[in-house]
Amino acid sequence: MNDFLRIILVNLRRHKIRAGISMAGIAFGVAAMLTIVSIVMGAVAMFQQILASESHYVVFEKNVSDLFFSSVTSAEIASLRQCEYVAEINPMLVGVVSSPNHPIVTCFGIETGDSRLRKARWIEGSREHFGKEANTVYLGARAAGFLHAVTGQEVPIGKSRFRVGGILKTSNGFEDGGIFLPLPEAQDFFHRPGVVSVATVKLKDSHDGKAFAAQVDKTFPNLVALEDKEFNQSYSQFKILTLTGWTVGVFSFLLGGMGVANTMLMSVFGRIREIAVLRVCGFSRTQVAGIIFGEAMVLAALGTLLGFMMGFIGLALLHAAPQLQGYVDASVQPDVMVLICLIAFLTAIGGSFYPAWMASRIEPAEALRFE
Amino acid sequence: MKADPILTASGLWKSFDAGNIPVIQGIDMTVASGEIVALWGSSGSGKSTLLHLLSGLDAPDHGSVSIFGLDPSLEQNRLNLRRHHLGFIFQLHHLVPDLTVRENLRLPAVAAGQPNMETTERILHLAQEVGLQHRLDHRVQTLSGGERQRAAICRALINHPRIIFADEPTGSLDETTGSAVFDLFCRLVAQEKVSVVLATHERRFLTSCHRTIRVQNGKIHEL
Repeated sequence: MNDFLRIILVNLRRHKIRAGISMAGIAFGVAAMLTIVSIVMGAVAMFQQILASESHYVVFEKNVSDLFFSSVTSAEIASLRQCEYVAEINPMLVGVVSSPNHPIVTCFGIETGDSRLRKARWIEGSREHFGKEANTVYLGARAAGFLHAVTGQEVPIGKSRFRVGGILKTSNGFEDGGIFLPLPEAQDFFHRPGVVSVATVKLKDSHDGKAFAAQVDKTFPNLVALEDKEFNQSYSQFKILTLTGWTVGVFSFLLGGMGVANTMLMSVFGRIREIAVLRVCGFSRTQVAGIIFGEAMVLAALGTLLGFMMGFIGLALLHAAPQLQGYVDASVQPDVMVLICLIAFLTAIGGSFYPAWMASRIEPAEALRFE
Repeated sequence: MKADPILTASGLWKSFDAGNIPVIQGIDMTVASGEIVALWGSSGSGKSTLLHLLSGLDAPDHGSVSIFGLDPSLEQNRLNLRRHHLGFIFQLHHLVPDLTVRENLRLPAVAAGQPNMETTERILHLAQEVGLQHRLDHRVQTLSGGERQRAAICRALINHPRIIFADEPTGSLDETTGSAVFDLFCRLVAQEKVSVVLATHERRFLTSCHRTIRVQNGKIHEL
């Protein structure tokens, strides 16, 4: 085994630049996939956290492509509150507002008793005043930063002006970059009276989830109640985001795979006689192919390590970038890392398959005929 | 009494360029155990091609070769023969660059899965025989032409082969070095009781061989 490894390493060392470029191809693929997928998963997790605040279930309109278009009426919320399984319901109207220089700011219309307000750290103002004063908006810490607003000051939101009633810091990047309105004011603002986008539901007993979902399905045919995990898997926006992340990553890998294929082909062409001599020495076709695959595996291993380093550095830089602060909260999952490793190695195997086959077909007499 | 042949070739034909260049034309020959057989002829006479056919490195258009009763046209037989029964020496040393002499010598043993300890001892023994023991851990690039060819001879002998196929083994060396390497080669194969099929154009080596077969225009006759 050591001898095989030595042959593999010697050949890679012999063409350092070529091997380095190929390794970089894999590394860029790994870094791209790690960065994109982790950012997407982080974003999904943040969004899910907004919805799942201390809840077990999310109730929204069936078959909507985006929660912004979901409508759950106040009557339905009131009816849900009467449900025997329900301990607490937090309805929320989600919308997008604009402010000068900031065309997209997420607006959360919530009730005064919403758990988000309880959990937040109030930098200015207090939650006791939330909803008590008319024409008042509460800002996430980052939104207060980019709107250059302090409590008591007026800020332009859409075509109206609102007084800032307080500034709160949450653990969620999206919420920190958004604004909070009392639910009735948000419904007025978005011209959606008596309607919310989504309701998060905390059950009295978490084991009653299935019964609760079945009751929602029976009582409100236009609504759906999904467990947090189910929601993540079924919400089309999450699916599109995740699929996009993986697709971009896979294409990065394809480029890396072509790099490996090129390096391995050059490697085989450059030492046809050497491989012929190995065959003369008794190496089987499988052993010769194994050497080529081995070289690709070493490139993949080093490329993966380098790629993870690049990816983590990239994520740290994005996290620290002032313009993105709060929005990039990457979620690096161990199973994603394992999957990336697997894809890197499969890419290397795929890229070296043809070169390995070619090497294994080299006939010594043919290769050595013209010395 | 003549020993039983360990290599038999019958009705060998070989041509290149889709049959337009006939190289070997109907050759029958045998090699007995312990024999040193020279295939002697000028450049282009077909001796290297014949050597490749006899050793199973190349396949004939017609005819057959049997080595120790095995048909080398079959991959499994070829592997078995190369790993355990045959050794090869070429005009150029064909050592793997960037590996040390020791690592190059180990290659046939690695392919055959020989025990490490046994191989290590064998390498040392052969290196001492050819005076390369002090060069074992040096890379091939640092060796002289004669040293490289001596290393190639050792590599051919590592797995205790029973036949060595040598194609102009001193062809790339000057006359003095070539003679010294050839003498060393003859001494080693005698010690190891190995049969040899030697392709050469140099008359001076023929006296060391048991038989000389002249190759001319793709045909042979024994001298």
